[in-house]
Amino acid sequence: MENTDPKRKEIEEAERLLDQTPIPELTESLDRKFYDFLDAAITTRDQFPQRSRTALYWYAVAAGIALFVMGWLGGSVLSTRNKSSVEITGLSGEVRDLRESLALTMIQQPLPGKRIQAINMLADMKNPDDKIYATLLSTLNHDPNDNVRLVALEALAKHVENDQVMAGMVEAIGQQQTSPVVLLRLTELMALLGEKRALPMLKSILEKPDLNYNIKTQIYETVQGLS
Amino acid sequence: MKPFRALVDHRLVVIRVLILFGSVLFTNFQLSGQTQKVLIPLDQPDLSGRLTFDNPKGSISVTGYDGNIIVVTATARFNQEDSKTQNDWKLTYDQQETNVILYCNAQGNTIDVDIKIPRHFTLQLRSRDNGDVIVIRINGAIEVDNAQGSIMLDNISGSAILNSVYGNITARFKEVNPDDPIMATTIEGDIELSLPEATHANLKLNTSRGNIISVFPLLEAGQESSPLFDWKSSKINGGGPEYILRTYNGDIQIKRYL
Repeated sequence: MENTDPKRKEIEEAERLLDQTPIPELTESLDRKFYDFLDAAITTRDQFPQRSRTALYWYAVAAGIALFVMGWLGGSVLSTRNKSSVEITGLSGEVRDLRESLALTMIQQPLPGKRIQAINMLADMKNPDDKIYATLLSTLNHDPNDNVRLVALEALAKHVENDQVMAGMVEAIGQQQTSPVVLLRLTELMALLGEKRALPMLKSILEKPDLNYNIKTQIYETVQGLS
Repeated sequence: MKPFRALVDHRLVVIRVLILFGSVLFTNFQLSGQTQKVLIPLDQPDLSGRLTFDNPKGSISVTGYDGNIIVVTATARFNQEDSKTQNDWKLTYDQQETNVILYCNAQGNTIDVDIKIPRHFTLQLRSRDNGDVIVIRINGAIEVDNAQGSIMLDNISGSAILNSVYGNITARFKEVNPDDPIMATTIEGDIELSLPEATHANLKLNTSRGNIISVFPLLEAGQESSPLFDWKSSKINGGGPEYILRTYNGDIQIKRYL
């Protein structure tokens, strides 16, 4: 019975083989090999999770920054949408004031070209106030250069619906005897506008002796047309 | 207050005397009866200067040159041998650095004044009677007022504001200042403006009785909203400062500077 069981026989054979296998001597190299394997295993275990953990950390930081930037942008867009109308009105008001004061300074410059630029700046302003009209009228009456007066007149002629402007233009007829070019254009405008208030001024100018023939004709025709 | 004002007045007097003295010292008068010459040296010829001259009667001719002295030659136009006032007319000037004002005390004489001047100068010229105004080869802003006579500008770099009543106006620009307006107005005369090819400007032209000819294409009148304004206009090279030309009885010509 003992020797018939093949499995037992196999086991016995294995035991015999094991007994015959020499036990390796514990050497230093073997020891070192073991610890080398151990160290290698430890480092690999430490390395892999460490790397993935730092990557994750940086992804989180990047996402945070991205969120922050997006929030900022979104917020600024929203806030400009809300405040824009108020702020732009305020700013454009300031720019307008600046342009106006710049123009009012430029209009006192000695160079006539600069004064013409100043008049154009004033003429381009939307909703001009009384100060601008007064400045243009004063330029029309008192500027030493006829061309500058003429430009002021053209600027004023864009606002003839304003009573102050129209009255000022009528009054200015009496101031232009030394500026024939301006007087001629002013008479022409009075004729085009059918401004009857200009009649007394025009009639009094007709009586002046040394008047340019063309101006005299123009004034005469205008007086005929208006009366 | 009083001593202070007195001090200021005193200083003013001293300055005036100095200026007068300086004028006499630096002025080289050549009194030959009919011609007077004045030399005005400029301490800083590199700086752009300003000359103002209001001639009561007679022509003005200004020519730019490469020098640093203003040379003024004034000539009485008519021989008035028996006239008492013949030698009484006088040319003087005030100078503050490069700002020069020339005076001609003409005593009723017609005095033609020729001026040679460094090129970079701003000019403010007026002839009140009996003469033309000619300006050649100047870099700067030019203002001319000559109601009775004509105005002629040639080889100019800069800008001009010109006004006449009975005269023609010719202005030939070699270069234009990109920011400054140009304007020429007269009643009886023609206006001719020559511009360099690369000019950027908004042309606005009007003549009541004359013709308009332009090498730059013009828009018809009526493009402006109001019937009060009957300009013929044009944006040259996309537009720029306004160039306004207006005459009553004359023609207007816009040419290229050649």
